[in-house]
Amino acid sequence: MIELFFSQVLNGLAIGQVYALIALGFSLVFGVSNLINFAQGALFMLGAFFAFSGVTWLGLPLPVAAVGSIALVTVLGIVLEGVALRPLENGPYIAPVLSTLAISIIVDQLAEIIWSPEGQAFPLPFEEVTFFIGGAYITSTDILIFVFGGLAALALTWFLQYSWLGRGVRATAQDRDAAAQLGVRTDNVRRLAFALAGTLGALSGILVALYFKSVFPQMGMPFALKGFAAALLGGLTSIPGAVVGGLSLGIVETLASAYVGEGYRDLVAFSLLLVFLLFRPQGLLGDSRLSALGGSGAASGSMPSTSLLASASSQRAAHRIIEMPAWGFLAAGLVLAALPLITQSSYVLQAVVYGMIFAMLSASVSLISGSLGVLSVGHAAFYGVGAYTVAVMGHTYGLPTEVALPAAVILTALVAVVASLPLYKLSGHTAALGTLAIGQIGFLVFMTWLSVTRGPMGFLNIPAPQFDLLGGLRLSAISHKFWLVALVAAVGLFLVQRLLDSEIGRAWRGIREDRLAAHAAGLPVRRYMLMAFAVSGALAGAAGGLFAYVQSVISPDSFNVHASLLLLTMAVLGGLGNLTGAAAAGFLLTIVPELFRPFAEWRMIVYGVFLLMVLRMRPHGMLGAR
Amino acid sequence: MRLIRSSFLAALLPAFLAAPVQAAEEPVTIGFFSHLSGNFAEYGASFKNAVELYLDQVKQQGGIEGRPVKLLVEDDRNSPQEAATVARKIAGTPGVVLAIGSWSTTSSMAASPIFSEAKIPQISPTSSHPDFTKQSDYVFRQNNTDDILAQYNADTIQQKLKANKVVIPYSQDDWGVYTGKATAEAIKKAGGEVLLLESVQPGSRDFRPFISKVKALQPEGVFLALPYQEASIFIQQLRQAGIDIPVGGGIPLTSPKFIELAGKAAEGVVLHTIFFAQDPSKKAFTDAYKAKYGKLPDQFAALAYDATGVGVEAIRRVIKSGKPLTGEAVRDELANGPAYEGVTGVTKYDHGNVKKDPIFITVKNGQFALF
Repeated sequence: MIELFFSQVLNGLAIGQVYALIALGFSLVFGVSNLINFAQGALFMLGAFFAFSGVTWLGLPLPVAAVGSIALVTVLGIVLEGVALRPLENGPYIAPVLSTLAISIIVDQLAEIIWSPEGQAFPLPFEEVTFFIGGAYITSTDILIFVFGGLAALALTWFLQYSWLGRGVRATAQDRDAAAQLGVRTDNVRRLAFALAGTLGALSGILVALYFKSVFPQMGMPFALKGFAAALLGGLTSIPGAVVGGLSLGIVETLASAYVGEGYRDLVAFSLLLVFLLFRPQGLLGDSRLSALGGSGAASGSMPSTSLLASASSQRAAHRIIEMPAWGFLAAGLVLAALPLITQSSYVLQAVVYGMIFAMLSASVSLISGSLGVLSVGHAAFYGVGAYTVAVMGHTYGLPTEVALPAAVILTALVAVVASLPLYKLSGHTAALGTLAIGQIGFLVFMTWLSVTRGPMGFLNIPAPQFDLLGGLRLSAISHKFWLVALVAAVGLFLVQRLLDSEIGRAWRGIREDRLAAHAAGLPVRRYMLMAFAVSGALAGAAGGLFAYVQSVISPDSFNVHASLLLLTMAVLGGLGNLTGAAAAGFLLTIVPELFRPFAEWRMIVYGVFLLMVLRMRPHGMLGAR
Repeated sequence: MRLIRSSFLAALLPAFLAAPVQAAEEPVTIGFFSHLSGNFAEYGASFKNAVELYLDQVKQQGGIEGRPVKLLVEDDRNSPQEAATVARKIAGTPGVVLAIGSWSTTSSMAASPIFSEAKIPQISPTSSHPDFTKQSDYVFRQNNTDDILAQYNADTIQQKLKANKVVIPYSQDDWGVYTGKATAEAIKKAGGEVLLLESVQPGSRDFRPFISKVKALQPEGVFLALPYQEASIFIQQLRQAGIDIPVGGGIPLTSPKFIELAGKAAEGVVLHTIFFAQDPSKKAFTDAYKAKYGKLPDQFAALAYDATGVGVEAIRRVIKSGKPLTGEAVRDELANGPAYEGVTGVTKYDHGNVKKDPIFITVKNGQFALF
């Protein structure tokens, strides 16, 4: 038994060093520019594929291809900084984050077009040898990864500790403005950080390709998620923290696989991460002085306030806000309700129904991310809870809609409140990573809790909405469901807009702008935060419940990390905190891609480019952040 | 020669012969939907290739009984939500009498109620979950159900590989969950022992913790209820750990990509299939496929090819009978029609289900060969 335990720990170290490498590149950028670099996964994937192409297309020996690939991706890191960050320097803090997200969408999709979506075998240049230590084993590839990974970490540590340039990087990480005043060229430092992130990304990509002997265009996202988690665990800005975080994550998930079950591996890993953050929000080796409750130094670096909408100059640039009054949502719902009288096409009606559902979801994200200022990258979990509640109540227990739909709303609100507890002590981008973990946990629970969610099979034939109180009224045709959705969406958005216009909404925005000041002014910050999560969860739950009714089929795939990211981009494009904008963006961005259906391959690319352009031209969103 | 003649004819026919005839006849519209982008898109591409290949041949014969065929192609991105949307789109297009799709049971089932409501028969080439055809009279499939496949899985590992103490990693998806459990039951029923039956999240790449457990249990064989991407990495890591026991697998591993990705580790793996590209009796199909797309067809292509064949023959019988061509009439012909001999075996529908015999194959010198 003990031998098995040790061999599992060894397995954990082997995969953990891979996570550590990815976390390193991520921590470096985070430290210097206080930015979640979503494109780190894309850099990682490109590193692997460039090396792959060098070996298989050009016939280069692997070391040459690897060096070429690393050089190329290093340059791409600089280009990324130029495209994603530089133009948005004085925009709100959130803009560059989303612009790295847009770039990763574009790159991932382009990679599928260039290299085909299929996995490809990555040729090993040497015969692999396995060394056995009793029941445990390590392979020559493990040793190779260990040597390169260790060298990279040591070189990086040496560079940051002892070189002048490295001192500049650290100074910039601590306080960019102060460093600039002392003559550090902070622009160059940031470019350097991105270049190094590219180098490390490419290196880890190639090593991972060797580890699995294959490359996949979709490999970026799952490993980036693990890299984020490892960095968060380690303390985000700490280089040794990234290494320790990666190794710990590797060991934890391996032991979860060994003693709980392979299927629960990620679920256990992400759940432990959240629980850990409850007690030690600064991570394993993070600096505890940087209390997350706000003040000058948020979680790390120099963020002048906890607000995601504030810009580097800590002043809000004036921008126009276009907003409807609350009753506008009722009016819009009324106008849309006439649509089934005009057209009978179920295809058109279905598209518009999805549009309304996503308007609610996008508004729900906008409330948390915009008004409260906790960037939500895990909203699909709430959306899914609503959908599954209706599915379980309607399908498994045959309960009528007047029970199932309100239950979905209440249950999702409760789940959102519980989920927000670990987030309370986090702020800024750290909180965003926390929501990312929540989203993953939600998805994995839908996937693995077979007795309730039916796992990957999901629910089929969810009965149509039926109201026993209204004499068994059944809404089976799509046009009838359309009216139900229009009603719930209009009323839901109306109520939330009323809330946002009230003093509660003002308190939320106050907490967003400066949590410490809100605290000092006597606002019960925690209570307001929980309330915002409850309201946002209720809205998402209603949308999820309607989604289950409309589609009559649900499966976990509808609630994965990509759905969360999509919802976030909708909220941002509309203008964070602006309910009209969020609803309009959610509605339009669901319907317009339908028109591009024949160009499915290019759809996501167009979407990414559009997102980039909007961020560049209207960093506060189409209708203006509020 | 064959290629030259057929493309020559294809170029000539519409221009000289068929055009005036076809213009007078109303086209027959067939809807096709599967995943043409995203994860596993290569399977969807195989589907589309095969459907188009079959319809090309129909075109060369001047259409179905002189009526031209129109194909609607939609991408469902392997998502049930998208599948429901494209199903509405297909069902809303006037004149559609047959729908072919989709790849996964979940996506196919999301589309079924919509087609049934519109009285359009749906043939899924690959949905293997037993519940799929229980939905309505308008739902058909081309492959065996998971219950039949589970028996073949057990035969592969117990009879062909002579392993009685087995571990089964299965993929946590609609196919894997059912297959894993059904296979384990079939093995136990035949007197075998299942030492470990554990799920693997889709997209997993690191199986070493699992393999360390396998090593401690000392089984006689492994049955992989995994898609080929996961399976190829699993088997590499299994061999890397010095575990040399026989490995069996099901339909997903019959893709040539499995051998390509797994390399030497794939040697000696035994699989069952209902289509084998190297089988000489399927030469006409494999040659035509290879000529058009430059690669050998996989089982998915073969199933989609047969789905189209069965559907087109049913449409042909409706036209011949002189009845008005409706989805309902095509459904009746599918359900009650004669047996159809295709490249994956005989299709004779019993409540939308088929039973086709397995062929056992193995990997020898980097190639599939009959076992």
